[in-house]
Amino acid sequence: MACTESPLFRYARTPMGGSGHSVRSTCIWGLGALLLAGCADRLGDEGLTTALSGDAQERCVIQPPAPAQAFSGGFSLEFGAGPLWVFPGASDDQGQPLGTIAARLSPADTPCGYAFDYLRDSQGALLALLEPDAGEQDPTRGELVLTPLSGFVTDWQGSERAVVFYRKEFVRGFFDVETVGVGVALLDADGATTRLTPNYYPGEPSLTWLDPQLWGRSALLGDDGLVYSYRCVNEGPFDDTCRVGRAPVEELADPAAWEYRGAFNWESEPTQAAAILEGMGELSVAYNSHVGKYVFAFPPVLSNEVEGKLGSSPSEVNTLTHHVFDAVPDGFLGIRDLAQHPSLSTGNEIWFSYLTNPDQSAPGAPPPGVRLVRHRLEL
Amino acid sequence: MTRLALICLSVVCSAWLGSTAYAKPTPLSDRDGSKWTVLPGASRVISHGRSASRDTPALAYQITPYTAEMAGGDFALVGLETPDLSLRFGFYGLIELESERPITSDDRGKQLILPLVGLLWRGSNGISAALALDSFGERAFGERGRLEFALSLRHESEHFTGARDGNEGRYEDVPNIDNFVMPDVAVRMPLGDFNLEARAQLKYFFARHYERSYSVGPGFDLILHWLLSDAVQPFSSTFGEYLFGTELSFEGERVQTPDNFLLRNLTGLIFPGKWGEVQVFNSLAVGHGKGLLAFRREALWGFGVRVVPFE
Repeated sequence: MACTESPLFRYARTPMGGSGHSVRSTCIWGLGALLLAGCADRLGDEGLTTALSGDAQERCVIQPPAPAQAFSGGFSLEFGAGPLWVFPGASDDQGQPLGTIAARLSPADTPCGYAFDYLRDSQGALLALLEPDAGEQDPTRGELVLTPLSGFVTDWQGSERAVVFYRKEFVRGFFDVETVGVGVALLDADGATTRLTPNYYPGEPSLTWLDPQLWGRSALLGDDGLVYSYRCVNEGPFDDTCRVGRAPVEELADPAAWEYRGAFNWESEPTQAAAILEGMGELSVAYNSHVGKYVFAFPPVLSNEVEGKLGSSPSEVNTLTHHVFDAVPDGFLGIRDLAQHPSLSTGNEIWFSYLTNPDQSAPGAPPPGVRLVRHRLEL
Repeated sequence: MTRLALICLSVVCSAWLGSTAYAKPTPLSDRDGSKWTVLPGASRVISHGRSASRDTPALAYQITPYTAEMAGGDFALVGLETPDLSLRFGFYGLIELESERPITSDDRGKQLILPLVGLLWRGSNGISAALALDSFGERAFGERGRLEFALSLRHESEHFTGARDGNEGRYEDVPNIDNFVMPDVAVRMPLGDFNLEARAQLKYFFARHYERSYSVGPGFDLILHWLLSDAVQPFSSTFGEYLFGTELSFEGERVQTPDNFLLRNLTGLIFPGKWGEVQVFNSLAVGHGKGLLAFRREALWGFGVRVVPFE
């Protein structure tokens, strides 16, 4: 507590941010009990315990399998035989891309709480998922990359398949990317993929949306049987919004089957979609049976904090925003690739993963990578 | 708005009534039969007026070191005196303005008069019935001894005067106190030139407009009052309270209000007057803030002056 003098009284400078939880100086006594005196020391700040309040414990930094040195956060798919975690953007120690790899998860006595059994081909090499067809390549536009965005497991025409939304883009350099659009693929538990071809756009028969309508983020199956997916875009400085669309499962690759939540009604044009969330560049939505609601989790723009909102459906978000946990700070732009993993959660838990690259110039800096966090809910 | 008008009206009424008449309690030895009196004094024979509770209604100026100013009054509308007991039906009301943060040297004294750095305020009003066992108190504890039982019904709401944009969301999740009933029992024990007063109370919350944020709130007063002279009387008053938070539905979601506690001591001098008394005190407090500062836990050292009618 820093008490400084004034002509009338002695008082404290108390930080409004609540960071000062310990006495930081001594008050000056001696004027007597009735003299004009004052000190304030902030002992703590409290708040409502909300449905998303709890104890977040980082379980591990997920180690990529050799020869991979890094990958993106990805998402997990809840197959009947066990979770399958899809890691897009794998690369080796030379920075050469290895594509999308995946791992089957099984409970194990490891720091993560799970063993990661990476899918491999018959030669034992890491299996690259969702590779583009050779006929699609166009060296004049760059390297064609298909990046999985999100997905869910469903009964697809009588068999268990994962529906995976992916982004198609031509990469010429780190900051030189031509995004084409978003398509849908089916994924088996063994890693086999089949891209759906709605044949809607001439020249891009496999895509459901063309840039800039990049939907397909955090896709999930709602309790009404419809597929929901989101589009989060930056519309200006600190103007990031997320919108929602929906379609019947059996028609989810057909652009005409999708409708988008507008300001008042569901609209057929994606350009009519209205923002349901503001202030975040990415979003993870999942139903949580313990909370009994859909959890919309996100890191605010350029933030290292995870926040959340609740909603009664994938398209209805409550106004209250809850702090969920503080992530390991990223050294550059804030954490990214935040995902919920319902397939790992039991009881009152929500499992999260996110990608962070702490500033390695600081001594004792935590390692970069995809972190797995178990968040135990209080209520 | 109706509640606000009611609170303002009650404060104005209490100030007016306090300035018009004051019938001092009849000494036990002079009582002859039953007598009804209009405005017999405070709402209780063992008044709340020296309590260190932040809910003590008075005309008060405090640097806690938040700037806190209160207009309020606590009085009995009508009372019955018999040779053995006193019965009072009282009214209580207060409005307190408070700054959003403690004053600092950077304020250059601007906050000394008014809480200009963010204006928080709360209003409370209520009614009470108090039964004092006068003759039993004197027999049990000696002259000036009293034992009193009271039941209060109160309402409190908290508010924020925001900027023109309304400062949306700044205090949206801070719970309202709303309504509660409060039985309390108090005893005054004379110890030579001292009076020792003790009170135990229990707030039972029953929100009408929302789900209640707190369930119950036990509290106590312990007051030592030295009858040094007719001109000046030292006192030391300690108040403690613990409110138990509840789980409730807030904006359609389940939330749990954190528990709230406050331990506060006032030590100072009383200057008795014709209509009441002036108290000048030093205050020490540990615990949560009042009103919209209920989530803030602090240790505070400050001072204040308050005018308590009917003491």
